[in-house]
Amino acid sequence: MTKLTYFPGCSAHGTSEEFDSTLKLVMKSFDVQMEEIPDWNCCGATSAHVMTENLAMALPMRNLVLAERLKNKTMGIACASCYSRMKTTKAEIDANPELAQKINSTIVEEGEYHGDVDVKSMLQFFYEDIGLETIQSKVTYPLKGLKVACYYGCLLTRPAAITRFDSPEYPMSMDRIMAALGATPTEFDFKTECCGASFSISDTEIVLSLSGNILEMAQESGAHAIVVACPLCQSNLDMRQPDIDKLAGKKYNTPVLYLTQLMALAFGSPVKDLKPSKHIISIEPALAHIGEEIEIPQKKAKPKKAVAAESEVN
Amino acid sequence: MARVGVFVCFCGANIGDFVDIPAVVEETKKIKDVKYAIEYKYVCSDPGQQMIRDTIVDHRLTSIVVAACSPRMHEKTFRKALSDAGMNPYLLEVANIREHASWVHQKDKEAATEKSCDLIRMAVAKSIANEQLHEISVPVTKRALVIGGGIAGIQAALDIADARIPVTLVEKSPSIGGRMAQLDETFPTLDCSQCILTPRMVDVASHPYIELLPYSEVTELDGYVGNYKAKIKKKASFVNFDTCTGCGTCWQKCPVKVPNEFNMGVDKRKAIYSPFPQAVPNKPVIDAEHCTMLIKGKCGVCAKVCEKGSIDYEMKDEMIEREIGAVVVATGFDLWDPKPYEEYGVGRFKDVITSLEFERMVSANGPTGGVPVRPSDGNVPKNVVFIKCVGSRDEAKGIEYCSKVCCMYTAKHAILLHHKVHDSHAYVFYMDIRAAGKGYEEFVKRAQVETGATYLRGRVSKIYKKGDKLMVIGEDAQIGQVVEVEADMVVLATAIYPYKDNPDLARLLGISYDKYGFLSEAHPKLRPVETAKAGIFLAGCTQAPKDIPDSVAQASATAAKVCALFSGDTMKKDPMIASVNPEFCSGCENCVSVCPYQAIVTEEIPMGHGSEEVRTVSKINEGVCQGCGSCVAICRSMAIDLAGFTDMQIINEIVAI
Amino acid sequence: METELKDKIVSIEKPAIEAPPEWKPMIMGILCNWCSYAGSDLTGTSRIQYPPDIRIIRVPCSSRVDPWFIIKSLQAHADGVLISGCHPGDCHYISGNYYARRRFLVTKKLLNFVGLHEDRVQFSWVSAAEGAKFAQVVAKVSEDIRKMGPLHLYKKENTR
Repeated sequence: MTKLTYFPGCSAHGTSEEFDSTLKLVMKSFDVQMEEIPDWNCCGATSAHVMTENLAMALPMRNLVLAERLKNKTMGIACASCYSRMKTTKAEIDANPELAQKINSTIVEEGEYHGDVDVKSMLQFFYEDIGLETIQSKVTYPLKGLKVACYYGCLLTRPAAITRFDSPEYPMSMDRIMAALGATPTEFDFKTECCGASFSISDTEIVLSLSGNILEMAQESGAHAIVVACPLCQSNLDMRQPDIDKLAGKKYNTPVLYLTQLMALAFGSPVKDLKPSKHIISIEPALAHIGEEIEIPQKKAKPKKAVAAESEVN
Repeated sequence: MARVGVFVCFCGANIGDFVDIPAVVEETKKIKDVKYAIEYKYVCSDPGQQMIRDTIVDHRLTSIVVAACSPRMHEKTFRKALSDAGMNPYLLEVANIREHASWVHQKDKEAATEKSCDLIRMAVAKSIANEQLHEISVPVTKRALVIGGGIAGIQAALDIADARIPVTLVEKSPSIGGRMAQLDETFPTLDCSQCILTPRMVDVASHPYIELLPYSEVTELDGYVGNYKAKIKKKASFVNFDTCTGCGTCWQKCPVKVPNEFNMGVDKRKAIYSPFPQAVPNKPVIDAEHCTMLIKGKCGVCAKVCEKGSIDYEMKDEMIEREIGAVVVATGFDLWDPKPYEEYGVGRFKDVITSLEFERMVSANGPTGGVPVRPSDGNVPKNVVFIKCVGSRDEAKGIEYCSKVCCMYTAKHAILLHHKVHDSHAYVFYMDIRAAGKGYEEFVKRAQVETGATYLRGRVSKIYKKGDKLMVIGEDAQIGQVVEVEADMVVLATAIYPYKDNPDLARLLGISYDKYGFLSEAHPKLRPVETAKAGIFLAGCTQAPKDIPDSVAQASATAAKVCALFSGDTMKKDPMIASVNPEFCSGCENCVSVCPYQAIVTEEIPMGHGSEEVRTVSKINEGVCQGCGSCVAICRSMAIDLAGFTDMQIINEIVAI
Repeated sequence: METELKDKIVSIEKPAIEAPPEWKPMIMGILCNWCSYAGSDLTGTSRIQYPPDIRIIRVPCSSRVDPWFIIKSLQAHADGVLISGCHPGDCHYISGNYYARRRFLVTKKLLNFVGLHEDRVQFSWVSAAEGAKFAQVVAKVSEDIRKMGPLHLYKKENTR
């Protein structure tokens, strides 16, 4: 049995409860034991990281120090913001031991920082540590017929120099996991576009238009649902959808699912374990597509090319 | 017994006002070995030089010291004066009492005077150890090797050959012409590239002084300036060029299709092919990688249809050797791979293409007959977005330098698009417009005003697909807003980048290259066509990004350099070079490893004392040695010395004060 | 600054000799022809003033400088030696200054080992365009040597 240090972050115990619960189901199927960091604290993704540098690093560093006590190789983080704070802080203090010492001196009670725990997002953990083959082998209920647009958001693969995972502009890891589950990932160009989360409170208009763009493109790609790996992405795209609909003057009706919800489903959990009631946009209509035959786009007749006769070219 | 003459110059007031020259002369006269010392207002003047000449003869002087300005200023002048008086010019030493004393210690005459005396003492001491040196003559093989048959190589070859110097032109692909042959029309005049290039290509093929070796590569270069020996591999073409008429039946019948590199992969060519209709020589070659006859031994169609029986599947690579005196490297450029720009959908969106692909499409002899078409559906695009600086000037994803030609060819593409598709519209995203050149700014204006291309100053942040359109999101910095353009096609002005085998070529030739792989010139301003290795010159984009006029100008400059090098039967060379005393040489070969010019070789000499055994010693090639002295300082046996800067001369200087 | 420098001096040179009032330091400057010598010429052409303590020897390249020249200078009369060459990457002879740099690191270690203050021998990069920099370099070396005082160790009598 593998052990994984788990940092849930504030949303996993609140708005994204369904992420947390399905994550635990999925990990169980992989025989991974999740150990939640005792007495974990805020990651600092609130206003801390723009207000004071020291606090912005002290908060994640405390979590990192606590995580080291659990003696596991890897810490998996559910939320993309938490992941970004944790990973950025780790990169900075690992590169600058003096800074590390300075910050460490503000959290002496927790102990000393050694820097020997790997920080990964859950997506990264699935993709790198579990692997597509294992994922595929656990599938008992293939999601054939379900077309999904994978939305990574801005932080899971960026900044590339710090995350060192997948492509910063057009990542494919989640798409491949979806394919392994039997679902069909659509060609979705807005995978990493901004959803406007940082303006969630201060300027919701912007959030509505940016998130609206993402929904529009997802629909355009033919997806039945959007898949995400971050609670903030989920809440912005799901919770605000009625408002976005109003602004756009049309109904998107595109449910936003967590990667782990679909994994759990594919691994045999009943739909009720996905906690459908937690969603603003109902997930059932999308899930109803499972089992449908996906029509393979007909190969278009060879385009007429304004090609000069070959003999003339050569 | 040394008899040194010292001439102290006032340089008008330049030295005279800040150094007590009469006192210096008095002090100088006290130096042992100084037989004559005199001050003069301007030693460099004609009467001053006459005085030196007369004194040498009258006083039977054995070496001369002139205390005046920097030797970098007038050393040559005074050497000539010595020569004219029948004295070996290298018996001169200059004491720099102007730049190193009078001008830098203007507030302390006493110190400046004292320092001047010391500098003269040092020069006198050095001059006593000076030896008679004679200019070195190196024989010259009057044949030039030009590597690369693009416009730069063609121009260099023609200019050199027109001076009746034989040229061997080596081109790696089946035809000369290079990148310029791929272009449609050229900025800023829009004259057709093929029309101006092909006559030159024909000139090359028919020139009595040019030996054209297509489908060949240089594999080795030995020797030194004036005396190189090149090994050239003639790749097997599997076609006998002597009998082939270039009729084209073979490539019409060949069943194998391969992406056509001349058309940037926009269409296909055959496994037996001639790259383009105006190719020189217009003979096909068989691509051994793809020919089924050569891979599996099945097919043989080309041999069956060839009436002349020119196909020879048994042909092997052939190695030939040429003795040459100088090399012009003109290997051109490659395109930078825009793959890192994932946000532009490079590789995912078929209608995001590179500028050279666009160039091939709008080219009259191109794969689409001169009309741009969308690779995805073959439709003619209406709205085309051009993005400049893809790779260039982008430290994060690309390279730091400016590719120099993209501003101009993008303006050209905007105009050509308008010419080929009248109801089209061009949008150009740019960072800056760099249009320095004759008629260049006017040309960009033409694109903007006449053609009505929309120039948007800003970077593109993303391209996404909406239906069959490409949506281009970018910034228009001039109105400070994000703009979105609906495009049918996007053309990326990808950077000019050196060929990835440039470093290998540089190592083979013994010249240096920069961090990107561009070959390095000897001096960025004053020696832009020479390399640090004598007799090897650079032309065109192999050195740095350039447009056609610049490449042609540089190519002609290399020709002038080659002609100057070959102007006599021998070359004159500065005698201040290193030499090995084999008596002392222990054969450790440390000098061989530090020599930046590979001027040191080893040879075996008899042990001596009647023994039949041999030992290895170093030997310096005087044609190659540039006289840096690295080998002298590294030699632990003190077997090497540098003429003009011998250990004895320098030690004399050190202990003279 | 003064105490710092003295502290760096290894035991044999300590204490620094009290210099007689009329003492002036003598610095042997060995400059490469293409960059530093040209730079020193530019100092003159620009009329930039510097202490008159340096005597300059021209060599083709800093790689021509044999450690022997440095040691001989210090034995003979010099209180310090300045070697100057082209900036890294700018060597007229492609790579000579890199060899020079490595060689002088070792030479400095040797000199330190035999008891000389390591700042008696200094190395700098001065390009042909850096007239002002050359003056600064000479001023700095001169100031350092003045603080160290006359070099009396290993001086050979009657070397001249």
